[in-house]
Amino acid sequence: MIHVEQLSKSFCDLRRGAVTALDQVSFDVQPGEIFGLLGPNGAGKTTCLRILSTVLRPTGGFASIAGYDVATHPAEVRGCIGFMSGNTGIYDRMTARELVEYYGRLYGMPEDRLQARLDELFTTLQMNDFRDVLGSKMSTGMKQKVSIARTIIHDPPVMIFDEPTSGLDVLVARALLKTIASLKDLGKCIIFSTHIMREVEKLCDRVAIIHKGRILAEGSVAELERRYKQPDMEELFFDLISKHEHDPAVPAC
Amino acid sequence: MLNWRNVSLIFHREVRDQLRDRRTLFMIAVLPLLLYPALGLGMMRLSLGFREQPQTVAILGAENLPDEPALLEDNRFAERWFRKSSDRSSQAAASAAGKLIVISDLPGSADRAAALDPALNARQLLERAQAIGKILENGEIQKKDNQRAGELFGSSGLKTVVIVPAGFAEELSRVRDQLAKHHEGTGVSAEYPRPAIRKSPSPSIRRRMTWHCPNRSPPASGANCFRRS
Repeated sequence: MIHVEQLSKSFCDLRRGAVTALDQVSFDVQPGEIFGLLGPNGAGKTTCLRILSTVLRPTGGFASIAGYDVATHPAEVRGCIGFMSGNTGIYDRMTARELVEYYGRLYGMPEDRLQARLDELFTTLQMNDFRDVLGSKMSTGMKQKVSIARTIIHDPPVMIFDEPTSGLDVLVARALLKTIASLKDLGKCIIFSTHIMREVEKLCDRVAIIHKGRILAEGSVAELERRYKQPDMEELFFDLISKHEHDPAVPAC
Repeated sequence: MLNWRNVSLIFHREVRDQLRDRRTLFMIAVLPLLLYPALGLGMMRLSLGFREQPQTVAILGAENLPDEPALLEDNRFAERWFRKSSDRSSQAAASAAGKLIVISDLPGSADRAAALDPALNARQLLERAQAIGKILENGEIQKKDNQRAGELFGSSGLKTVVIVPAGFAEELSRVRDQLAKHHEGTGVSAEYPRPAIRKSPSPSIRRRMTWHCPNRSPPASGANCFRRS
């Protein structure tokens, strides 16, 4: 469903000169799978996800989603994905229902299908209690639910979550992770970017540890712990990052 | 994907968003409806007030003014002094003359001025003008006298104070005769420019007023005229 091959992104920065944000990254994600991108701040996670969501153009390599090249068929790719990040805002002066409906219409959904999908989503995500509440009056948890509903209103086969739990309290974050897990059960292909180890351990089927634009390791959590002989993801993560810091020439996977 | 349907959707969403914002609504709809008429009315009233407010001129030594040509008609300046050669209508001159109320030290002048404008405290204004005149009646005016007279004038509420010296009418007649002799046979008119009376542009000028005192000694051919510049 998602195929990324030798994907690179470089740009010129006045202060730092030529910067490689993404360096020949490759991975594949299948339907019904949650693929975690785990890395510290500035590792290149968001750059990778922005290329996949067609917001940025790659400077090298290839990426396709549902068979569409992200560089040459951006409109088709956007129709296939739902993108949600931790700082996705919602409109203050729109109700939950209006906002989700608005995005459904922007995706070009037929009206009858849109209304049926709205009813379904509001029931599934337990949003009927605040369907007519304005965005400015919503709690953080409500906003997060609306944000999820907005992301999946057009029922995309691929979903991209870029640090969706950042800034959320434990209860809301937990509810969000549950929702993402339920989406996996629906057969969605999910990329989940984070720097929180616990979330990766709980949620992801496979993980790629990314640092300074390069993937250092990829595999399931158990497989990686076994391969690198570490007791948990946190130890594994620090081990890999520190080794790469001391010797950047260590070949990435 | 950008198409007309999406453009319309976004446009309608934005309009709805603005219409739901009470602050924006107030700023774009209610405030202009209230503010602009109020501003317009205020400005109009202000300008009318400035234009219609009668201005007061005090003339001391009015008994020294010549009978012909008469400077005053009761408590107004004579219309003829406001008539321009290009303006033959007496209406404009009457209107200009009507904006000035003259209070002189002739008997009953203050009472007549008070009758013209009941809001005017004519007697008090005359007393203030006389106080100013008392300071300036000496031939040699010291700096401190000038300053004190200036302060009194500033707080007096008077637009202009004119002090006509004794013997002014006779002096004027003598000068006229001299001019007539001088111009006899030359074809040049004996008419000569007369002093113009100007009002100050606005009361704010009051603070910046300067005193014109052309004649420190008793004048030969004109009055001491103190006015705001």
